[in-house]
Parts: sequence; structure tokens; C-alpha cells
Amino acid sequence: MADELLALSLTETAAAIKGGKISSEEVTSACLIRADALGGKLNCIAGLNADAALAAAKATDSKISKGNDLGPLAGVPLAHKDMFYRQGRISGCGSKIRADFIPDQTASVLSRLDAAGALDIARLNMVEFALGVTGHNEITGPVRNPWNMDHITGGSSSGSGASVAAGLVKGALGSDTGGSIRFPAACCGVVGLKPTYGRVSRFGAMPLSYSLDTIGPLTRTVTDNALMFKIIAGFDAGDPTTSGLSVTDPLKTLEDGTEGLRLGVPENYFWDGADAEIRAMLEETVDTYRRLGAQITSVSVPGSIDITNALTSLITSCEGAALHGHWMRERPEDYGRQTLGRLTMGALTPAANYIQALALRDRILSQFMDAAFSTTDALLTPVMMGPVPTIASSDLAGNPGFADFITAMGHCTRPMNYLGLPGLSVPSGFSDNGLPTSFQLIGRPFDEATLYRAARAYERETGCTDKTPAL
Amino acid sequence: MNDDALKATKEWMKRFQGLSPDADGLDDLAQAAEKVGGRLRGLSGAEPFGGQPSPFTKILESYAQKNKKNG
Repeated sequence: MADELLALSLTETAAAIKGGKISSEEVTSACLIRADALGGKLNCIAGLNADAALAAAKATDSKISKGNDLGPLAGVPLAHKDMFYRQGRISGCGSKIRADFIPDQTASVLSRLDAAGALDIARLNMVEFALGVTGHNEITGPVRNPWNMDHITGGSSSGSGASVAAGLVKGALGSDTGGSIRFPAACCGVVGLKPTYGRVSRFGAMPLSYSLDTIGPLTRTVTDNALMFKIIAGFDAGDPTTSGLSVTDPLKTLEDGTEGLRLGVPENYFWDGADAEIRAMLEETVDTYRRLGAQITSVSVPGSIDITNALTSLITSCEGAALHGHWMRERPEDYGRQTLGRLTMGALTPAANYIQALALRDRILSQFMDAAFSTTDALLTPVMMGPVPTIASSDLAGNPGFADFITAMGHCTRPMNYLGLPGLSVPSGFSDNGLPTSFQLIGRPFDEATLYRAARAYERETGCTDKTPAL
Repeated sequence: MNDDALKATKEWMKRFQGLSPDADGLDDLAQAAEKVGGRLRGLSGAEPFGGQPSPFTKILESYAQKNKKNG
């Protein structure tokens, strides 16, 4: 029975609880037992809220049995990256510096999930202060990939990717400043959305870069992801950068297919440096979309895209250095080397360069929108340029060359943070080393619904999210 | 970066940022910051002189509204 409960997707779990086929207590217990058994091996749990989660599950069951509608996620066990504050509960941010930090406020995204009836059963490990794309963390150790524990999970939402892939929870929140949702989604074979900048409130979430930070869901299936996104998206007075535009319900068009959808395949930049295996996977994905009736269009993106990776890094480092300045001066020894190195880069950057990097955003976005979206509805690109590397081969810490390594990793993801556009990482299969492969769908501002529709059509056709790791 | 330049960078960091980074890795970091600074200088310079920057969310919203209008 426990295996059956664990195999249910988020959407299936919610429906089964609501329909009285299973109880929240049963499924929450199954998840807690699995988290207890695998959390240590995978190093994905920062803290388990077992007693509170079971009590909440029982209370949910009791209310449902009395006919109460507790929301679309009633009784569903979730867990989130350890940077979303919950009043009175530690939020360690993957760090030594904030290891004992107890916030006095609750993140808006958590409040929204609470209001939808979801349970929050654990805090999930992450890269120190969300500054890193591989999943390495010199303070808490690396989170391990459920498909092969010698390999990275990707970061910085490393625990979120691993926990969802391993079936410890039905969904998890992550944050994405340069690829930190899309990398763990890609490495762990789950679905991950970096929403449009301003679509999801960051209130009560640990900041890294005000200009780039976004928050989004990691889930096993596309439908699960769309459901979580719908719940967390929308204006929030607590975060003045959130948009007042109404949220298009992605579930309404989810099953509409891709007949007539104009899918752009960039002929420059995004494929530069992709290895043969990744190219072959992407070509196969394009063929699948062609079969599904999508109009495939070749797109030339403007040359200015080339600098956006570096500018994302510059803005992150500068804003990060400003946020961390007092700890960098008073407690430098409490940082991991890579984290301190990247923050130090921000302190080395002239303020005028930082302002220019932000000022150029409008112009480069305008060029990109004209070139990429005048004839297409979405773009298809890689997430990563090669197969998921091992933990050992990608452990550069703060050694010379780490900045170049991170730049290469962020080739396809960071530009979307700079441009503020939504990007959805979708599993596509497995590489020769047995680790997942993925592709990225990029959309127009606030058009997450089109990305979900395209991803769902691919998922329905290929069953790309059916397989789970044998653990 | 030669030893003198590295020493000057360390002094600048101490004086203007109050930071004392290890020499190990500073060379790499300074070169990375220098490289992107050079590329930025090549790109900027044609920015409108007199306009005010818009909040980025508003810029993104304008594309969404345009998209809606064009159906």
C-alpha cells in the first residue's frame, strides 16, 4: 500500500484524499517513512516536521470527513527549500551563518500553499545561500542524485529536486536566480518552472538578488507543476515587484495540445557547446513536437544574448555582496569558499558597472523579444550542455576556474533570469550514463500557460515523467 | 595579474569594502570582474541620456499587454 501511495502524483494524491479513497494521514506517514529511510542517504532533508505533519494530516482528514472543502491541495505532503521562512521555525538557508535563524514572518508562497490545504513536512537542503548551480555545499555536504548517488543533483534547489524525484514528497518549492530550479529539475528528472520575474511573490523568502530572484515549483509531472504554480502566482502587497496582471489559469489549456503552436528552435547561442548526446536528444524532441502538429521555426537570437550570462552573474554577485557585506566582514570563515568567492566578486565590481548591467536589460530584452517571439509562441533550448556530471568531477569549491565552470553551466539558464522570461525544464529521457536529460521551454512574459500546454503535450506523447528512480 | 596589481587590489578591497579576501583565488575573481566590465563598456554608451529607468516588472507587463492586444 505504501508503494502505491508514494507512486501517486501530487494531483492524484489531492484527488484521492478529497474523494475519500485515501487519507492524508496514510500518505503523509508513507512520505515520512520514506524521508526517514532515504533522507540521510540523499542528504536532502534539513529538518523533518514529522509530529506536526502527522497532526496536521489527522486534522485535515477529520475536517474532510465532516464535508469541509479545505482547498485544492488538502492534506498533500510537500516540503520546500530551506529558505522559505515560516514564523517560529528555523530557516538555515544551507549555511552556518543562518543555521539557527528563526524568522518572525511566514513567506507568502508558504501562506498560499497553507491556504490551499497543503502540508509542509520538511525543510530541504540547498546550496549555501542559494549561490551555486551544482548542488555542492561545503557546510552541509552535497545532496545526492536519486538516479545515481555519485552524481550531482544540480543546485541551488538541490534538496527540492532530489526529494521530489525520490518520492519523499509530492512537490517542492525552489528559487531560481540563474538556473537554481531548472538545474535540479533537469539533473533529477522532474519538472521545474522558473516563472516570469514578478509573477510569484518573494516576500518572506531569503533574498539573493532582488533583480533576478524568482520562486517556482518542482514536481514529478507537468500537471502537478501547473497546479502549484497557479496557487502561488499573483500579486502580493508584501513584494512590490509582483505584477498586478491577472494570472492565466494554466490548467484550463493544459490538455489543448500543440497543433499549430509555433515553436522556435534557436539556430545560434543556445546550442553552442552542447555535446552530441544532448544535441541528439533535442533533435528527437523537436521531431516529437513536429509529429504533434507544432510548427517548428528556426530562430536567430540577437548577439547581445551572449553577454546576459555574465551580466546575471555580475548582478547576483553585486546584490549578494550588498546583502552579505556585514557577514563577509565579520564572519568570512563561516562561508564556503565558492560562496565567499562569488560574493567577493560582487565587492570587486564597480557600482557603475552594476547599474549599467541593469540599465541594459530593457534594450537587450527588446532585441530578444523582436527576434525570438515575433514569429513563435515559445522557444525550445537545452537546459544543460552535457550529461549530469559526478559530484567528484564538478567539485571545484573556490579553486581558480570555478567562475568559468559556473558560466558554462549557466549558458542556457541565466539569460532567462536577466531577461525575466519564464523557463520550464521538462524531462526528456536518459543519457548514456543513466542520468536524466531535459529540455527548456522559454516563453513570453507572463505566458507560463503556453509552456505548460507544450510540456504536457510532450509528456502525454512520450511518458517522459513516468519513470522513477529505483531506490 | 602581477604581484603589485594583486597587492593593490587587496588594499583597495580593505580600504573601500572593509574586506580582506585571501590572495588565493582573488586573481581569478578580479580577472573575471575585469573581463565582464570590459564587455559592458563595449555594449553601453548608447543609453538614452535623460530617460528614467522603468521598474522591470512594468517592462515585462508591457510585453504581455502587447501580446494580448495582438491576440
